[in-house]
Amino acid sequence: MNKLLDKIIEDTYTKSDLMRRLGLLKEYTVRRLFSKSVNSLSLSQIDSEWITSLGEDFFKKFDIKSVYDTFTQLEVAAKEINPLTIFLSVDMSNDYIAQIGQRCRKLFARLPDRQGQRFLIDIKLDPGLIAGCSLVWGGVMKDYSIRAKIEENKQVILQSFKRSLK
Amino acid sequence: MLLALLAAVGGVIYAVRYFRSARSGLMNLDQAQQKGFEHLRRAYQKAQEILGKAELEGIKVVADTKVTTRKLEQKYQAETEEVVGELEKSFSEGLNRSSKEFIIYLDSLKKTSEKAQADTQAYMQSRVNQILDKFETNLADFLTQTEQKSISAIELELKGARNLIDTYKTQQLTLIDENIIAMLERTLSLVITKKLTLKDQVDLVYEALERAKVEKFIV
Repeated sequence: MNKLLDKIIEDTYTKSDLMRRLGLLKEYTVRRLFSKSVNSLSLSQIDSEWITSLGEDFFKKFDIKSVYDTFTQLEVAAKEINPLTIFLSVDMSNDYIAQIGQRCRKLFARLPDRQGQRFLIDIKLDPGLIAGCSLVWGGVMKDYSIRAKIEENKQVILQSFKRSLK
Repeated sequence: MLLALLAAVGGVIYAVRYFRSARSGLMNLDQAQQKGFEHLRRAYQKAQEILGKAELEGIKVVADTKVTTRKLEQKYQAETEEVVGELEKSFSEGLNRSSKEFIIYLDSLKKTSEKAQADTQAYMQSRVNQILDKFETNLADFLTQTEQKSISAIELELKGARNLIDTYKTQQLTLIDENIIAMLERTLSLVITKKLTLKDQVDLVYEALERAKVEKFIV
């Protein structure tokens, strides 16, 4: 089951994507197993490519008897993953989000209990950050944005501003 | 008058006795009557004389009495006048003496009263002065205390007002600073959004992730 999840997470970087893909995968797999026809399932190109990238060996691990249980376990395991919430100041495309996700997995590969391999992010929008991002991990927030830097250097900024007024 | 009456009564009694003795004696009635009438006439004349004398005596006595009475009255009056005069004199002397003594007494009373009045006045004056001094002292103390309390209250109010002003000033300056920062953030957000590319934004995210790793934020 872990290998299945690892495979699914391999090219999935956000938790919302993971849950969505699990749902899609479940439907796809069930149709594949029970109706032998998956054409009626409407998938986006990206999703379709992703499913194809999983390979036939992946789907061989599912059988009719245990497919639902397997997916239930996968969903449970997926829900247990705590993602790193990243607040961005601008909306980014999936490519950039994927790049950020990959960078996170490289940086935090050594986390225990497979957290490094299964590292997921959760992207949220906060235009007030101006630029940069703020991170939330384990219920704790750390602001690395421009706004935080302005706040840190507020007195210096104000002093130079007041000096420039004189 | 009394003597005359007594003499007249004596003569009548003698005549009656004589007549009795004549009656009782057995003399010649005519002689006896003649003697009797003779005696009676004499007695009558005697009685008349005696009466006359008695009247004269009485008149004399009355006159003497009147004279004596007059004399006595005069004497009495004189003595009375003398006594009255003496009484008046002594009374007036006594009155004068009493008046003098009374005047002396009044003088002494007056002096005593004046002395008492002067003493009372002096005492009242000193008492009034004491009261005024005490009042002045108390008033001065009260005014000093009131002044100090007023000053303390005013200073407290001033201090409170100054603190309020300082607080307000600080608040306003803080507000201004926050407004400056808000304006700066707003300006930066408008400018940076246009100037920074998505790649730059992603680079900033990478930088944040690197810092998070260094700071061991994600463990």
